Amino acid sequence: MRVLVLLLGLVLILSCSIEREEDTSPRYVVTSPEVGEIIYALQGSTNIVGVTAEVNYPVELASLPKVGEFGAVSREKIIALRPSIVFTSGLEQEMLARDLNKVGIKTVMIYPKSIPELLAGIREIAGHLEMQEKGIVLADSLQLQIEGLRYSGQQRPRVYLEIYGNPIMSISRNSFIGEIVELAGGDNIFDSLPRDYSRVRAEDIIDRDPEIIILTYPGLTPGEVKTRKGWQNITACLDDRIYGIEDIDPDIILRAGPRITEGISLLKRMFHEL
Amino acid sequence: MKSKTVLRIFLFLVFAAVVIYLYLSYRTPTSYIVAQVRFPRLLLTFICGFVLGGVGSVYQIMLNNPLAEPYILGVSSGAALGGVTAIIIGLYLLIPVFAFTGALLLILIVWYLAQVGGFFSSTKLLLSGIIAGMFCSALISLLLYLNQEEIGSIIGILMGNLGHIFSMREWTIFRVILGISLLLMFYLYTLSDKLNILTSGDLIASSLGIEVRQLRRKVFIVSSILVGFTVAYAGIIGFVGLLVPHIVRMLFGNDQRKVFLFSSFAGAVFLIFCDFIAMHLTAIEIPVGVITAFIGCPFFIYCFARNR
Repeated sequence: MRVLVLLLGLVLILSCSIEREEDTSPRYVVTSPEVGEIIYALQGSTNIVGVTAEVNYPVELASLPKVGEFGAVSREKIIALRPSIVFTSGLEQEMLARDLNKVGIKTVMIYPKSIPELLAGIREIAGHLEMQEKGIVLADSLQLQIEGLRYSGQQRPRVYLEIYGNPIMSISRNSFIGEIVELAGGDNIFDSLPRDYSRVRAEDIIDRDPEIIILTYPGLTPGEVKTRKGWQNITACLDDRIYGIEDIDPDIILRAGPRITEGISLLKRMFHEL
Repeated sequence: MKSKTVLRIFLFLVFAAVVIYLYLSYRTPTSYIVAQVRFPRLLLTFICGFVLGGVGSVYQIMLNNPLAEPYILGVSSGAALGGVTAIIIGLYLLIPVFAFTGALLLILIVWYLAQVGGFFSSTKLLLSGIIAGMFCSALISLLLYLNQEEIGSIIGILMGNLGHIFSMREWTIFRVILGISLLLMFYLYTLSDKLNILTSGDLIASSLGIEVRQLRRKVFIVSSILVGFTVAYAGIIGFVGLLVPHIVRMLFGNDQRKVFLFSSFAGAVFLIFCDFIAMHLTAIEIPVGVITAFIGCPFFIYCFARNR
């Protein structure tokens, strides 16, 4: 009996140490939604083995195995996926990248804060995917499209973009989305905020009287903005030019990815054609 | 100093604070902005400071504990949990309603816990409040961790945010709440004599004919409702309710009638002053709870040292 148990144990140990079949194709984990969109534009969903819950576009990526949420990524799940490269974003994910580096996993951090940085990011990602040519093509064509979309007219409506409602927060010209608003021909009423994304005062909004209000978060409808105390005389409220997430998918203007051209043309239509 | 003189000084200070708050800024505001934006915020700030200062002084006597403050019985954590829940569900406009409901639920739980075992004491009330509050805080931490994209709103509740944006209907409701709050504060004021007697101990107070248990219950429920209102609209603003009553006692003695009245007004002036600084010190508004701590703590130490 004892011998039998011993033998069984031995077999078990041996079976564990049998070499797995060596799979040489690369394995990518993507924790940033914008990087996900860029990689997809370059090579589709091939070789991507894990994503975070926020990576929701396109659907091919959304259905991949999850490794957590943007700010709460499971290190263990990533390690278990044996990735060759993990593509991360900035902010809370810098810590994640450092942790993964400690266990010898290669990470690439891409966190574009402007259009030039987005284009550089595309080239960098393409380099890591070993498809430099394609990266240059994608970046160049994106740049051309963006330049083609740049608004050059004189009519620049005053725009207030609210990224958060409690407390109310807006964006400066130095933020990615601020750049997009300017490109599409809007005059951002908070363009000189001291931080890219920052709290603003209600009285400044009333004072600067925006002609267009854009809300990029769920939970508030344009109608509810009009009922805010003191806001009813703002031009945008009088003219009914308040747009919520039903009118514009926030992901296409907030994410620094290839869909940004869609975002710019949509904003342009909003700003200049009513 | 005679208490009438002091009260006049306080009324003057309130007036001065109001004028500064409404009109002083880098650019002269239009009357429309003063009336539509600054005045609502001023009223909210005033009532919060008024309630926190007054309730703080009452709690310190009711719980017979100098460390007591309006949030110690967990009402604030209950309200914050309610508010955070509303944020996470995405019902921004209902934050005050959820917060106030949270506060009420917590009052019931704490009250029930304090009665478990058949008898009731201020120590048990204090412990139940702290435990219930801690439990809510743990839940808030969990929700905060799981919903990091909502961190801005949640910090607004946890560190105080007087910049609540009222919708027109909400403004009407708020004015009613303001009226109710002032009435409840007056009611607490009328209990001052009994609370004065309570400072000499439960035994003496009951031998003098005071229903100690009933008194505690009234005070607990009324002040919890008041605190619930403030947290619902402005989040948790620390230090006002702890420091202001102590400073008032150091300056004007221990008569609860005076302490309550002066603490309320001093709380209001102090909070208006702090919120003014919070709004204008830097280009980006600072959470008001940070300012109250920064100013309150050194001032408290100064009073403490001087009184020695």
